[in-house]
Amino acid sequence: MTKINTGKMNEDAYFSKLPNGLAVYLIKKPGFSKKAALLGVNYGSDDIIFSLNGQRRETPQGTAHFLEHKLFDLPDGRNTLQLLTQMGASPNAFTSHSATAYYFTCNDNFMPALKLLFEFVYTPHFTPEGVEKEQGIIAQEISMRGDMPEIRLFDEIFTALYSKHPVRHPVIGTADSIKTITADTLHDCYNAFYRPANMVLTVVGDLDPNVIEDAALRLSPRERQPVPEFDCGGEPEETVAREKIIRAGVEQPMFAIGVKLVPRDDRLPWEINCQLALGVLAGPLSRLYGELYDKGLIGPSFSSAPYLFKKGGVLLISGRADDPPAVHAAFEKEIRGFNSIDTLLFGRVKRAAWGERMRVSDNPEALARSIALDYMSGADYFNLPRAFDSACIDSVLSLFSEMRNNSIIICETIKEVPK
Amino acid sequence: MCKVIELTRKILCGGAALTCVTTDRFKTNVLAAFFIRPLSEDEAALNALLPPVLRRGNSKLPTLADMSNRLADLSGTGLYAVVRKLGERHCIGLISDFIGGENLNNVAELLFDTLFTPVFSDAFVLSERDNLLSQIRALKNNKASFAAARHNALAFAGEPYSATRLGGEERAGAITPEALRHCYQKTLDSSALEFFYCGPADPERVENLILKNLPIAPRKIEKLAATFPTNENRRDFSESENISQAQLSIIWRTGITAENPDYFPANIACAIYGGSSASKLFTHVRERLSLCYTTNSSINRHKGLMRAQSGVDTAMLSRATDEMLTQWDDVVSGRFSDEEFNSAVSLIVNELKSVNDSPAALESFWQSQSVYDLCNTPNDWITAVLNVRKEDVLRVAKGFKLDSTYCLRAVQ
Repeated sequence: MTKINTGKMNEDAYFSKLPNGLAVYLIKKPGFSKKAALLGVNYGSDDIIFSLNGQRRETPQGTAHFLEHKLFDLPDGRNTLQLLTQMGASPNAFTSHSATAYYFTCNDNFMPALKLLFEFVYTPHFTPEGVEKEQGIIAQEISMRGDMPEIRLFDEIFTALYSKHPVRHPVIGTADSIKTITADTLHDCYNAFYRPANMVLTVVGDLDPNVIEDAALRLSPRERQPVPEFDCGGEPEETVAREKIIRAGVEQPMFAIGVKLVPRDDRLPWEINCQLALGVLAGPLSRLYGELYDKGLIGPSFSSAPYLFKKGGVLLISGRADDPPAVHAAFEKEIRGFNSIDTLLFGRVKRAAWGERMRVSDNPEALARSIALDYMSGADYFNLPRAFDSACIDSVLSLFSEMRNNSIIICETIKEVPK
Repeated sequence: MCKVIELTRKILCGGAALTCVTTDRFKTNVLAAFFIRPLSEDEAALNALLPPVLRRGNSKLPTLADMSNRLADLSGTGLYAVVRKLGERHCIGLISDFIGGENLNNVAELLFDTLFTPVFSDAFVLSERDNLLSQIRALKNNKASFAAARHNALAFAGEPYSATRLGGEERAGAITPEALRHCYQKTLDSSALEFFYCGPADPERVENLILKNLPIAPRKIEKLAATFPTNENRRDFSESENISQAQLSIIWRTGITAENPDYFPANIACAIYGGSSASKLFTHVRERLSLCYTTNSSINRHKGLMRAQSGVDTAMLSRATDEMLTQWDDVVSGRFSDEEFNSAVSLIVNELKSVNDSPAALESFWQSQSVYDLCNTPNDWITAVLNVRKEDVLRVAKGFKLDSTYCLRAVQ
């Protein structure tokens, strides 16, 4: 593996791209007992339409998440979640709009656990009985999410912003869409996406780089195969709805304002510029935040973050408020009048953002996740210092002019009237 | 080369104590200060309101903007108002995490100024009171934790533990600036004060920093009690809400608290039952019967209870309850394999080993120890867990008394 120059991030990090295309990272943490390993696939819930070998495929919503659930089963009936737990590891997985990841943390038995991680991810076993059983479990997960207003807000903001891009569908799918998923659907999608050249392994812990590289080489399929092309459906710049109201059993309204961004190729600098733009516009150091907080229009629940995905991105601002339209109006007014950034404020926002990023380094699991997600999005996590250095007032302001050309959508939840 | 983690705990003057974890392993340093208050329905909201009001501004940084600017200038230091319910103790205070050991003196100064020279204006109190009310109302947004809180209120009625971490809405809404100032003074006069530091600085340096800045004279510290009654008969509670998925909560009284060596076999029993994806609840209630997506059990060593939870279809509530109780019966009757036992032990040992690798986990672990003046380290716990035999688990699990079940049903 090649040692990475991490500059002021001060990490002991290594990288290798195997002949089969699998990317492998190791971040060595001397003295740490805890270790984390994550095997990520560049296949998320948005990948419902794709082209492979010249053929266009369309699959049901929620397939990537369903596949994630089923991959833990092995053909001999063993359940890998249970096997990993028996080894003393804490396994888990997640599916986002852009990616799927399988990971574990442990202190002992790292190499056997890593072997098992590779084994189950590269041994698909989907049966009609297994799919039917999982439909019941995922139906309960969908039901649970229906009772979580913050998740409903998150899902709804994308339906209000996007008309074509598959990000408008919930990651988990719907009660109807998961019923149409079959063992064949899972096999097809697995064969298309779960290819080493479409995947990344990140390991964090006090481990030897050569041992990790050898294991990855030995445990992953040898051949290098083509990866599917993503189809975002030809999304227009316009939004779908300016305002949408959803109903949920909440005591106080919640809101999510989403700014639809024009996607850019240079992912990491784009993400940092988005983070800094939100910091100067609506972060705790901003004029707007202070004004809204002092007026009692927002409280500590008010937060903002960029959410970037394949061929798209949204600036999300959310929280609880008695009067979400007033918060929305103040936000729009602020954007319209925003044509300069105070140098002192910009420096502070940058320092705060950098400190926030660096704290991730002490959490092996979070670090493994950040590196993998960046890699799958086409970015290099260890370019952070360069991205921060290159971010300047002009690059952030250019984002503002773009924001002014986009619509802002508000979703608010209202206490449901008992039937 | 990294230093091995060293632990130092010292009782300081004025009812204050300092726990130091000395290590240069992390980029993040942590400095925290907590007052330990008794938990009660009457004072829970007052206690919960204190940290955010203190966090609003101090004599040197009188506005929220001043505070935010200073934190950003200190390499993006974080300063958080924190309220925790540990059994019948209410821990209220501030946690700061920061990059770079060189920032320690400045962060300590900021923390002390915020704790002991707050602005405490009427406007700050009323504004944070509104925020507290908002937080209390938002508890309902998470149906599983709302169900647990409702179950606590009903099962522990008349006991301090029935109070919620943030207090009740009615009492929070009635708080006046005068009442909060009185609560602050009472806290300064009589509550134990726990400091925690994790970072590369020598404990003597941290101790001197605290002693130099601690404005508290010797005080009479309020003695804190805890209650552990049991109920003879199982009770079944049920309430309705406008929800899609029903929430089920089951409580057992264990009577086993932090200082009791039976805590370790109790912890293993709970892990076999519902501690992981290898547990009985996950294997049977979720995987075999597809009754739910989430199901788990957890043990509370501060109050001496075990709770099992699940989110299920309202139509399946009865079946899920029966199955969850059947699975516990299997644990009590010893119907679990060596693999299940070993898996539970591995789970707990892995969690404990991980504590030493996270500044946040170290802070949380040592607070839950220091509240009861316990000094055993994660490694001591690991030794205790590894010494537990199957017979110990059976003996201890048999002593768990089923207290009550609670269902939050969907409105029909």
